Amino acid sequence: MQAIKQPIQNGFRRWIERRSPRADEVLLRHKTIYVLPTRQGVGFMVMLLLLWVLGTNYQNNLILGLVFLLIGLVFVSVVHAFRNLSGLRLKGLRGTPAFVGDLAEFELLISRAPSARHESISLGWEEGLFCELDLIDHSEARVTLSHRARRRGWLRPERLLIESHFPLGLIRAWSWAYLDVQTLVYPKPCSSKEIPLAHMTTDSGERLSRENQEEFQGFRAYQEGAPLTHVAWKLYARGAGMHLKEYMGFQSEQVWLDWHRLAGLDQESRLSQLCYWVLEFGKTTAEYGLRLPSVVVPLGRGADHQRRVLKELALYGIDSDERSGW
Amino acid sequence: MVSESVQIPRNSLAWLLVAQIAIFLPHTGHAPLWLWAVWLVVALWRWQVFRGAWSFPSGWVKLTLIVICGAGLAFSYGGQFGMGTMVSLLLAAFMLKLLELRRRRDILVLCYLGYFVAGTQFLFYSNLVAAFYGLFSVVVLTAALLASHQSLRQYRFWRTFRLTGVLLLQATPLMVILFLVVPRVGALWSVPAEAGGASTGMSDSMSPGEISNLAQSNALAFRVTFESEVPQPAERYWRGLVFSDFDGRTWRQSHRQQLPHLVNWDDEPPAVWRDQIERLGRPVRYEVMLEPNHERWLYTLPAPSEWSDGIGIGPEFRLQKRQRVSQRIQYQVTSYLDYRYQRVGLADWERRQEVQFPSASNPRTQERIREWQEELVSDEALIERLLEHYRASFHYTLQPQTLGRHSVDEFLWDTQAGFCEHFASSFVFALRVAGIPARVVVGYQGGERSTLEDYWIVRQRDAHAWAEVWLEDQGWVRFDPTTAVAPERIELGLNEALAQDEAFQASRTFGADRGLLLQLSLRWDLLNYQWNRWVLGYDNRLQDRWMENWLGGRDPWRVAVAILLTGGVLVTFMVLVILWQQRPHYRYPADRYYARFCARLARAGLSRSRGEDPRAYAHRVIAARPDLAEPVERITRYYEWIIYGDDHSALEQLRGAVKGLKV
Repeated sequence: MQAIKQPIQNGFRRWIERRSPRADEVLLRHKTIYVLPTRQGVGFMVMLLLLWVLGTNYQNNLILGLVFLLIGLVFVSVVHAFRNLSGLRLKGLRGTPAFVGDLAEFELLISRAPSARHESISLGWEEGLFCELDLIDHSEARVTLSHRARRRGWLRPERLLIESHFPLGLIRAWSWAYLDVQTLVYPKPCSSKEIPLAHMTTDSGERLSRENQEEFQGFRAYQEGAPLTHVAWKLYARGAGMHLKEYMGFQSEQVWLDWHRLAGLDQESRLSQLCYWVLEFGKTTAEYGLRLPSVVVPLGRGADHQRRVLKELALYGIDSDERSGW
Repeated sequence: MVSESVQIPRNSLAWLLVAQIAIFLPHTGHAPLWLWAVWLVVALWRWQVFRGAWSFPSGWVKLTLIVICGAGLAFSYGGQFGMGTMVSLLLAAFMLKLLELRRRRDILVLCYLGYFVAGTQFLFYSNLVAAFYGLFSVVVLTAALLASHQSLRQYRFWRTFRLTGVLLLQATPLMVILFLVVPRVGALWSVPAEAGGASTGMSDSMSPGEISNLAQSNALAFRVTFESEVPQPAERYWRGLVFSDFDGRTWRQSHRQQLPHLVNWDDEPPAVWRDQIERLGRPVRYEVMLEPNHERWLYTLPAPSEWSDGIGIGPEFRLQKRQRVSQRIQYQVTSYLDYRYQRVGLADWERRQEVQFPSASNPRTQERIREWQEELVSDEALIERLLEHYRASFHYTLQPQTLGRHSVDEFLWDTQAGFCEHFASSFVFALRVAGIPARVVVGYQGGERSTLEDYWIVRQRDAHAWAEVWLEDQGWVRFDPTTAVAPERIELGLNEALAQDEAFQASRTFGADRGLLLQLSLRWDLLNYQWNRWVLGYDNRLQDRWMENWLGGRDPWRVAVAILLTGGVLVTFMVLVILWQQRPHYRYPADRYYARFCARLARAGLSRSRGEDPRAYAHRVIAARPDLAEPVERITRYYEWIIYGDDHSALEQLRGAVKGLKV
């Protein structure tokens, strides 16, 4: 069975993909909108059949008239279901990176033609992560859609399902859009207990201990660009102005996060461990660098540096043509 | 982030409750009243669930409710399972389902039941008002269904209502064409007629006071459209039943008259007795639209010679259907008002049947008639003597005194005031005493012409009884002893005949003056008549006629073309509206022409990328197609003038340049 089903499904998918190529902006039109009765719609028609039998048997023209009116209603709601999707314009705005196991978020801009109205449209990539939307009073809406981050690397969502049971739930209209959006999925940050940070050692030769990280030294005046996590908010709340908390341990530390020192772990666990440390060091003012077998990120700090390091972790071991994204 | 909302939205629940009330209302007349109490409980419960005060009932509670409703219905209907029981069961299911309303899917199931129950109301009421009410309940139910598919955030009552209207209006053309062309199959299996359909009408027996009661009802009996010349009022005797059996007080059909195998159906060869009808004069053709009276016999002018399919005829010109008339029907008849029947003579059994009477009943009449018989020589003279007796001192009233066991005696010799049944009954009895075959005929007499349309309205108050007497060389002859007392009853109709009778005045709906109310009532009747004739009475015969006129035949392909054409026109219209709604919107008129320009170049493979400014685009195009340099440059310049230089005079030039562009 599977042997038959698989090629059919693949063929169908290819057909759909041909009809709606990946694009940065997608306009839903008659070519890409599909309409079929829902299960409830089929039930409705069965009910109509029963009502027709009743009307025929009692030779009651009013009951027959009602049946014909409802048949007309089903017919008309096909067109309305189609209309409800037709003319919608979807545009991928940006994606927010996520860690494996979390939800990556994508921001989409959805707009309509000036005098069209669209109601009760749900869209999403994955079961349970759908978002419902109306475009009645406003001509455009921004929605944030989630996608499960399962694998490290670039996340390019598959087809986006846009569907609607409007107006009467008898007909389902749907469309698939391949939106040109992507985001990075970083390794899942987790620390293996057996490997203390001490093991990593630093280039400066000074030993670091876990306690040191927390060692609070004192305050200094706020400097622009300093991470907000280091601002002494309690002091600020007392009206003492902006100050930064100083941590002694990493103040002037330079740490190399080195792939090769994590022997005994498999690739993904190493990346997870490195990712964990990157996040931890990101909270401090220490400078850190990354050494992977393929690439070395020099020492640095700050949000941009962290993003760069995380990106290297995310794309480690992934084909170069895929690394670039679009 | 969850697609299926767990809670049924407020708007949808409110619509549903209103729809339920609208759908129950017409069933109040026949469904047990305690169902309303069940509904109140269920609706209250569901509303409390919605408010979060209560939780959904457990399985046990639901089971208990189902058992209560089931037992209650079994009790209310005495264990019989008819149409009423079925409808009440559906109603109960429709109510109880409310307690299972958790998700959107459940609303759909509830609405299916709703549509079905809304359909069943037409089994009980089918007039114009009922049709509009049914439409109203369908609107509310559809709005409930629609509201459940609209989000609450941007919900507005009128938007739901308007969209429902739009949906139903758009569905209407399809309904009309399907109604017109889908063939009526006819009953798939025979359904038991509902006993005791509450309708006033002629019954299958006649005792004193019965017809005079009927005469106080303004209810419609039937309507008639004459396709040929309209007979004189005095000729419009609508026969129903013939009563030959008398027990001293009540007239009935004889046992023999009720034998089903004596009915000559239209699919059988004509019976021998039909040869005894001699038809004279010109035929009268007419169509009768009979109100449901839950009886089998039909009304016709004598002597019928042709009639619609599915109708049989008994030896007394009694037209009848195989099943009781539980719905309004229409039938056509051709009658010869001038006829002779059984002129050659009666069979012995027949003669015995038509002269029988209980020998102990009405002794005074028997005695007096025998005295007269000795004085008079011929049957005709005796009849004349009898009519003379009526003329001398009788009077015609709707409020006769109650008569006892010897009703004919009391009427003829004491009270001497009565209604048509008294006259007919005493007349026939007296003739039978004299050995002259005679029988009572009941039906309607006369009818009122609608002033608006060419048809005649026969009401219950036109109910009448008269006599038929068999005379040598003449056969059966109609005698109406009522005319001896109140000839105007026959000539002018009942209203005028009873104009002085105060009781009758009081019982009439409208005063004697034919004022505005009467006009309105006639107009209303006309509407209903048209409704019954063309909508409720639309059958295969009318369908044939319609298709012949409008489609040129009734081949299946014509039907298919008619449906497809209607659907096609409908879809085209709707798609045009969609395209109109999605038309591109330009901020400046110049944008329209510039977009046209871009579209033309795009077709040549040079589409403008997003955010590319006109100048850069022009450079790119000219680099790719140097042959287009001049027009592209010109168009871009005009466009820039208009948009950036605010120089609107160049609009016409831009339009011309775009139009002249050859790619």
